[in-house]
Amino acid sequence: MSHNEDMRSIWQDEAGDAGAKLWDEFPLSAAPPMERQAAERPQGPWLWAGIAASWAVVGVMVLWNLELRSDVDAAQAQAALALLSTGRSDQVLAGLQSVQTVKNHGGLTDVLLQLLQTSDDPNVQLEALELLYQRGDLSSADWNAALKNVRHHKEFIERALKAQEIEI
Amino acid sequence: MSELELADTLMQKAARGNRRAMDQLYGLLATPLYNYLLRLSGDPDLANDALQNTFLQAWQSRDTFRGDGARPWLFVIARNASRRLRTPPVATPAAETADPGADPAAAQTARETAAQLEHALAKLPEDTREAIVLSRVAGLDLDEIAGILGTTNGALRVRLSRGLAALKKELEL
Repeated sequence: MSHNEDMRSIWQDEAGDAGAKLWDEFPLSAAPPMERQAAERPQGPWLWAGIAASWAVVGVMVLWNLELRSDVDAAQAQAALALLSTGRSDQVLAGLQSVQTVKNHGGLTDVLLQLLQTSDDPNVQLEALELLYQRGDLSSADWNAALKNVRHHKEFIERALKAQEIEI
Repeated sequence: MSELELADTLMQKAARGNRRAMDQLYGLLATPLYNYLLRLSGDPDLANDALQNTFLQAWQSRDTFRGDGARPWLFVIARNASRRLRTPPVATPAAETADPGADPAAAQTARETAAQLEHALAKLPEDTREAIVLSRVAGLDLDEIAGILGTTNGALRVRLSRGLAALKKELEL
């Protein structure tokens, strides 16, 4: 029994049927979206300098990575797909980490979709969802169709996708 | 994995600097936190400010997260954030509980019921209202809620009993 079910029973114990009615009819409001700019506001000039320096480093790393990536993509994708197909959460998560830089692999989107829809581990589902979102291969219609076939933690995954959309 | 464990997992990731995990945690917990904050302040804008400050504070203090109990940890931060912002509580605007596609008469009845309940909640003493709201929205057990409120399990149970009795009487249930 979940904590919510326990607590509803307590309300019922304390106030009888009225307690259950109050629980069921308690009005709940949807939360506003996260205000990202407020959450990431720098605290001072040194922080700005740090951010600028970090971006410079990131830029260099990205350029370096672009050069190397075409060579390693194929081998990396093959190794990662092997991990994704093991079915073991720890290995699948490791595989998902390693496919983050793989761009040009036609079958990867299908594998990620399958993980999102069939895995019962929410960590795996979240990683797959984030990668799918980052890759940008899916249209709104594709996302709607994909979400319909999610077997586990469907409501949470829908909220997670909404959070991704808000973030963008 | 329960939502409590999921919240712990996401907060552990956030504590290691994973911003996306913090976003996911917001998706998971913003609504219960917002509903708690809304009934503490009685003002949607103040509740939203407190909600944003809660996650900002949680992100900035992520190094202090001990690895479990993310949900009660965030409710404690939210409680403190609200106290820093709060003005005296007034009746909260009725929440949008009605399905827009539903029968208009039923939707109107649901709105009226929600408004009556909000009005009755606003009339409760603050500690009683807080106990009622937290027990309804937090998804935690009595011990965890008592910990957030800085009281004991027994005292919390008394507050719940009194609060529910008062609501029952006010709403003539």
